[in-house]
Amino acid sequence: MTVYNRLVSNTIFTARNIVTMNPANPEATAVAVRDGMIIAVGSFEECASWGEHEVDDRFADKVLVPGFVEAHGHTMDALAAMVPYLGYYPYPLADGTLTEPIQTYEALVAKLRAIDAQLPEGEQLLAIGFDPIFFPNEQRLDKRLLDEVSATRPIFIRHASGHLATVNSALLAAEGITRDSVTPGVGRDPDGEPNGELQEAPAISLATYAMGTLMAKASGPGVVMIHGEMCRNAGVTTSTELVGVFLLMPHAREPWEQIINSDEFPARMVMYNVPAMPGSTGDYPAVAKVAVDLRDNHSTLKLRNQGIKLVLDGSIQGWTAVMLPPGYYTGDDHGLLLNTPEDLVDALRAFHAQKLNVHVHCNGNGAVEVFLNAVEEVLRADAWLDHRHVVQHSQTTTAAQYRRMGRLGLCANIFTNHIWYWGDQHYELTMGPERARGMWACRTALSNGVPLSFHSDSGVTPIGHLHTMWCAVNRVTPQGRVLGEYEKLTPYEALHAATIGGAFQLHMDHEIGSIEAGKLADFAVLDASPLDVDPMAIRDISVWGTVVGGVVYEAPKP
Amino acid sequence: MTDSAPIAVTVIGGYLGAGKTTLVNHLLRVGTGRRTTVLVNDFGSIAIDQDLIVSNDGTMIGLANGCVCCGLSGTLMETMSAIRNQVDPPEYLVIEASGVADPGPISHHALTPGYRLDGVVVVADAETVRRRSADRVVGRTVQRQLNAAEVLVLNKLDLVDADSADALKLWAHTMAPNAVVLGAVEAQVPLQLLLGVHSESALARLAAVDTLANEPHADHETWSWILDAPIRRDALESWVAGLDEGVVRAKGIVWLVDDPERRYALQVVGRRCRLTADRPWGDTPRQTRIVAIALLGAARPSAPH
Repeated sequence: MTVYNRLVSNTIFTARNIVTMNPANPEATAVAVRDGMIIAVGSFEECASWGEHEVDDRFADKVLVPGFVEAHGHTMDALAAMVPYLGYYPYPLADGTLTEPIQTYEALVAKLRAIDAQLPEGEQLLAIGFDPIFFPNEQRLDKRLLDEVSATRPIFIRHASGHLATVNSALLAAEGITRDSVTPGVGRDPDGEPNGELQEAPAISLATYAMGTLMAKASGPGVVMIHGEMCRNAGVTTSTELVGVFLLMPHAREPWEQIINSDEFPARMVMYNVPAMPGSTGDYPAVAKVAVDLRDNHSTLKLRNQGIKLVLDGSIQGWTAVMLPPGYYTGDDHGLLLNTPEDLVDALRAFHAQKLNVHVHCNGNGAVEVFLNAVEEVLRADAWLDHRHVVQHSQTTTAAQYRRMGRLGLCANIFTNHIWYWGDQHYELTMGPERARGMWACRTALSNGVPLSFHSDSGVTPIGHLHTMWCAVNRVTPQGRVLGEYEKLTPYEALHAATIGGAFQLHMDHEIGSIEAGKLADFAVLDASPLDVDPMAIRDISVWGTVVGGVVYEAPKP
Repeated sequence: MTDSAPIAVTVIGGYLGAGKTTLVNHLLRVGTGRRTTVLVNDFGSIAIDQDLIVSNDGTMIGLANGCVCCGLSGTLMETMSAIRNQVDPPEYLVIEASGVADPGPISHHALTPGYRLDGVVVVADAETVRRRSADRVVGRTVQRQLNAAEVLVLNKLDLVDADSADALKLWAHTMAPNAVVLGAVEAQVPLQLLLGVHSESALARLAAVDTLANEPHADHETWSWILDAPIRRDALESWVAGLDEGVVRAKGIVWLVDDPERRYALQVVGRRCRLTADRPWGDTPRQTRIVAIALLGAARPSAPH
């Protein structure tokens, strides 16, 4: 990675093409930057007319687009780089490499054996990211398969959902989990012996060493830098932490500030802090005052405390999202609302009154309904019309709900990556064919005037908008289904959602999201324009790196 | 982890506005007579007279009666792990769940090493609970809460007429099949009925003096039995199943026919019976000792046999 000093005189970056996302000046070949800000975009001559300059022509054969804006990210994606990752699909790591996809039990055992061989004696083998939904024809993973890896070293595998872990006999013995354990969720063989499956938090907590280690890794400030590097590799210049902890754990702020505000950190971070642990409530007016102080007095150009995050339900593939009738297609409905509708109104009223932007996790359309009702209620008394509150995930939002959202001034940040990662499972298991074709309703959102962005929920799927765009444009699943021809977007609409669309939802579209005079000099440096390639090739475009505030960050080439 | 007695956990659940916080404030004021930590859902809603407070650092309030009250700053798993590892851990932990939480899964945290589950108390608003349980968005949440109850407090009973109250109690029994149903106004319920504190002390006395204790009390009574012969597991379970609806709690130490070398702990809250293996009898006398607490007017059962 190369870090250049902050620029003092004008620098003109030249490129094969610059896609600006400013419709009045859609394409250019040069952009002039002074002290981190764009001062001119156009031809080289037009940029040169702004006075003394240096020319940086290293992107002469590249395409610049506005730096991608990830408006629903998490820094926990760093865990995939810190702990062995067993995901079904490859996960791109900070060093530019990919994890090996684990698509069979043989591959799983082989990978665990390789890790086992390298670990010092006595150390537990911890791994994450295994997702049983992709192994419908295999026996459930239990201690027997893991015992084949090691009979002596404790092994702990946390599943992708976080609701399940599988451990081996050595771990059961090390933690004293026996046939006498009374904790619900300890999976058992017919003879009553634990089978190695630990279901839900109380049972998973019996693996005290493994969980303590994972939690410590996930909460250390070191994850931020790794996340920033993953952003750089994906062309993301502004990312977010949608479970910001600065309200719950004020002491966490300073270490983050030190890392993010340094020149080495290759992105901007926007925090959406949670006011209470999901599933509990808080003194919202008091929290709102602290959040305003964070936003107004503890924000920099690189680290913003822009708003509030609330979580209303769970996930669709975990059957914990709150769905309106007719509910789930197959499987048991474990939908659970994490705040009462009344409590949501209280929370929203307090934050809205302080003009704090609120993003609410709503996977199921039942949760969306509760959020829409709350927004309507609050707006009747408090007409902040430019709130831009966001329905996050918005995977199953109905057409009727998008019509309301358009009128209520709500935005949608749609989790389009699901089309690829779980689209077939939604079609076959969770929602059924009809509703799977209408999920991630990007066209319906735009038709109803709902401002749109996409996200990766980084950690759940890899950060990167070329992939979210590819999904929104093609809507293709691994099995070759096209889920909902009608809801497809054009590449231009998709690029809009991934740049200025995300910036709008963060109340930052006056600063980032397009390449035009007066905005921050944030670019994604690509090999090709997503507007020019075959739509099916959008996700294959390679990312050279980024420019953030005029500072160049090159991604490592594996 | 220490070898000291497990911390007894009571989970208090129920929908927003049912009266959980009123109940928690009542509990904090009265105290339990034991070192008790209360994890409240909303720290800001705690209303305690200043003269009861001995310390308050903004995140934790210490009371003169031995209660400590704090909110949740991490996951419940992390918080309970921290409490268990305190130098001087509490004897009791009361967890006030949020208004939408399903107290069932929360109570599972009490079935981990270092803890034992004392009971699940659910507070319901007598005026609104039936309507809420049919709501298309929160209905399932309310149904799950009721279903998890071992003690169901039908609060605000003064706001419904007598006929409705009777119909409501019948309905509550079907929605909360494992629960004893108590009516209340302003969440005023004798704490002995909610927490196992009382039966614990009765049991301790029973063990100490080896005589039958029979303690009349203004709103409930206590019965106890000592059996000198081992009892069959199924006989005990059917005895529990046959208890009068007015029996709120029972607990004891049991000598089982099928595992005579080990003590078993019996815990009955509402209609739910838990029998868990304990340490070997060693030199202590082998006998079954059971204490039950019942509402006034409940039929006294015969001794289990």
